[in-house]
Amino acid sequence: MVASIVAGGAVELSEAEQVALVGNLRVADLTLARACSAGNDFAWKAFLTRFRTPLYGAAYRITKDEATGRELADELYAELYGFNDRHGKRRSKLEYYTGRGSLEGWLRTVLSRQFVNRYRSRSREVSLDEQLDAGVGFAAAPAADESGPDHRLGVAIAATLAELGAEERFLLSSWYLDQRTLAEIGLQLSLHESTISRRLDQLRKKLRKRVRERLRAAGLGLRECDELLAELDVRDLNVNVAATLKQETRVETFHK
Amino acid sequence: MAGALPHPDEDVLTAFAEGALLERERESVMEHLAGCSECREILSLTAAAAPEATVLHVVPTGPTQKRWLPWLAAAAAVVLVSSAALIYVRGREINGLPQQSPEIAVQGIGRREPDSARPDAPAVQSAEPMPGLATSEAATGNSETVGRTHWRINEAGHAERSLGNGTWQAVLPNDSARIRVISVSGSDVWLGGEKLHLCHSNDDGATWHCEQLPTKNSSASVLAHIRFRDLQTGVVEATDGTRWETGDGGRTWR
Repeated sequence: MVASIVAGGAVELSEAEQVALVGNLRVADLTLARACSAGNDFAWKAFLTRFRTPLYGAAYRITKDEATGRELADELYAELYGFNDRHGKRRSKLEYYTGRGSLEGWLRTVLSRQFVNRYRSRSREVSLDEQLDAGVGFAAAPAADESGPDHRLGVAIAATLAELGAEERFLLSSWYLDQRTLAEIGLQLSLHESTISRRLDQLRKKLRKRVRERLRAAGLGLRECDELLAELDVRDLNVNVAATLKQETRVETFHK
Repeated sequence: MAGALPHPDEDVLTAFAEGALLERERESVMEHLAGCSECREILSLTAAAAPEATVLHVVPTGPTQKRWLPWLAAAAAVVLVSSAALIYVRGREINGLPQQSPEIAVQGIGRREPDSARPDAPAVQSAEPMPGLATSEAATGNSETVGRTHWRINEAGHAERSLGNGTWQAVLPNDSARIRVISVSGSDVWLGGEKLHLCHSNDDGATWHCEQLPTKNSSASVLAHIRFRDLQTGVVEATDGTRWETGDGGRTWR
């Protein structure tokens, strides 16, 4: 019952999964959050004692600017304390915390999402003139030449990227699209940067091997494959790497 | 496409970052993250905002260093203390910026790879400073020079500590497995080494609890990395990439 509620009721959990899920719940944090959202002043004081400094510290680290960090933290702070709705009932953002991870980690994630949302909403307001001033170009996509070896190479790369696993695509996206460092990716996956480096290296070798196999299957000779891969610059190909990496297989979801 | 799945909420993302999701959930979230730059951005910011646990990799004293004169060792100690103090001061002055690891500071190789080198870089281990890395004294927030605990691994593979008086003492019996990595966070100290041996002290090395991690379906035998997000949640990794995770401060590993 508890596990089903916490998981959002989106999937059927096995008994072992229910035990694991309930066993991992941060009960103390969850109790504190519930007491705060219910308006318990003693709990709110305890919350402030524990989380006020980490909350503001995290906001500064996220925004890298003291004024913006304070503004972001103040905003969340008010939402955590809660507002009275039209029925006079106090509504706090802490109601959404379900104890799956630590409360401190949850606060950091909420801050990060608010920061990203705010940044995105502001960046959407940039005018076309500003984009042109900033050097953003707008051009029609070139027509694909579907006969040459470059086209076959593009097809092979796109097909190979599409068959990668989720974690492999996550690594590629983080490294090549987001330009994250090894250390940053490592932090996100709780892995050492040397492990990320090793996995990326293995992934590159695997991609190269599979692309070569596809090219061979498409009728290219060994020498032609070598020449194509040696001269390969994916930017010259008509492959939308970002879109290819976004492909998702439908899996049972826990998202709410 | 990424839009096919709704964004995971803060609860799920936090649990993902802390390794607290069920395997099925983790796969589902990873699938979403692979295609959603917005959620990757949030995850990255969240990870960077965490006051990370200390991971200290100490380079064992090599045979060639035995030939060095004793005064060189003393000079190295001065450099180490100065670097640690510098790291500490920088960490206080530059709020939110990553601190430099003592190993990197001492060796002087803490340079970030140039962006232009990125496509070919994965094969090379980055020497970029790890966020939150610091010596034990920095981790405890103690600015006193005397009385701070220093840690090292000696040439025999034994973990040693010094209380700042220049005297090094082994903290485990001599017949213990060789230690390969030390992780320090405040008064919590973790040692990992050969034969999957993992030791933990929560009183700055005064008392220890040692155990052998359960073997997995791999040939892993040497622990190489220890990283704790907080006192409860951590990951230990062997040289071949095999991982063990804990969410209860090391009482159980999976």
